[in-house]
Amino acid sequence: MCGIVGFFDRTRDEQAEIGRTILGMLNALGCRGPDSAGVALFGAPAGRPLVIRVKLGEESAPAARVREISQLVESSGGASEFSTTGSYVRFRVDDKTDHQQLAAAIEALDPAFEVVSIGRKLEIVKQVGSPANLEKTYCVSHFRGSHGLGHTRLSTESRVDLSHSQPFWAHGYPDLAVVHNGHITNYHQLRRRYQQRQVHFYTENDSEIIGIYLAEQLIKGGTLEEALQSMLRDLDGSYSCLVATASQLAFVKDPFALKPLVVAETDRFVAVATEEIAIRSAVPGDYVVREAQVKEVRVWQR
Amino acid sequence: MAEITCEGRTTREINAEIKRLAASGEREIVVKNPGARHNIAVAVLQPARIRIEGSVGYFCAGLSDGPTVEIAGSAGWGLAESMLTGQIMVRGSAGNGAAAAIMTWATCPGCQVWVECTAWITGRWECPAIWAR
Repeated sequence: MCGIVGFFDRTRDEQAEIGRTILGMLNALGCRGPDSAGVALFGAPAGRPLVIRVKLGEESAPAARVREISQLVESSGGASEFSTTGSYVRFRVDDKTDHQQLAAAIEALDPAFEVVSIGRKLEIVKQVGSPANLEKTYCVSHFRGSHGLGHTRLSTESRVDLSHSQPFWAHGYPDLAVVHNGHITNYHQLRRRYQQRQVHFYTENDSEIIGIYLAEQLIKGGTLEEALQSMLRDLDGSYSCLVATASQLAFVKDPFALKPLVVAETDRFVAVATEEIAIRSAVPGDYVVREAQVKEVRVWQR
Repeated sequence: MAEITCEGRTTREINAEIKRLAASGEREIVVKNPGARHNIAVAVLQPARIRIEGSVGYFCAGLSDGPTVEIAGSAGWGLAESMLTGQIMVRGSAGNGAAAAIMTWATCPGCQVWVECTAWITGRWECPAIWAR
């Protein structure tokens, strides 16, 4: 199973209640994925431009470990808004910071540390348990921004912990986040190919490879739409997949159309979800919800 | 005509009310604000006419024997699953597994499922989709 949701505000409001909407949609899909819940939210810029979120461990980490990260960050150019909530450390760094190098240095401090998102707008929060628990720990509903993704997970092929939860950030590529419902059946083959090229995998979750694949296509110079079209050719299996960047929301549905996905599109918003109940229960108003078609790719741009 | 509002009620309460009205001889039942909920109007065993004003979720009108159900919206997976007799009309789309295991013509004439927009049938989309047995 798994439940995926996406919401895209079209009113050019950078301060929309995106956290509240995504959480409302996720709550309706809690029963599709009781293992874990997560959100990827895109907010308005303030302060230093790059937001970095680091997972400290499955629970929280002792203050001494947090200090190690803060000292490391200070020595590499400094940070602002350094804070610790639940399992995460969050801070902002300058544009000039080599974020890939910094991420590698943080992850080298402790095998439990993982940089879960870097972006000018993107912030990822996920944990084991229900959407209601996610809200209790991180107050997701207070987040304001322009668009976002959400995921509730029912694990079928890999372990249940924070790192294996979704959304996945495409490690190394700022602001690219993915949620996926389905199975990538040529995952092991593709993973071996990437590993031969020294690509690091953080999990054994097949969904992780979607972000790696899309980042590769975007780095080559393709558009997101082109990347999703080629994904239909290169990734086998069943997938309804939502992708977001700093300015886009997109979906792709596999050639078998095995996984459900519905779409509502108006002048005010775009809402996409596994089940219509997610949209109806979180987005008021009168609108049509349609089913995504086989091999359909859509990209919405702000 | 009787009206049922879904807001503030559990699905179990809604279905109990539909069945109570149908059993008491009510011929026309309108279900308002279904909110794409799952399991609406399951196992209705009377020939009542049920109009659902909005989309429904999974398994709508499954296990039914006799009713005419009109859905003024879309339906999720498993619409009208294992229906014995009756008619289902969907004004929007239906998800996977619509009309699965509806009874055969030989045993139960009068089984009909009709989807105005799209439904996914054995590897392709059909529009409109009709199952009649």
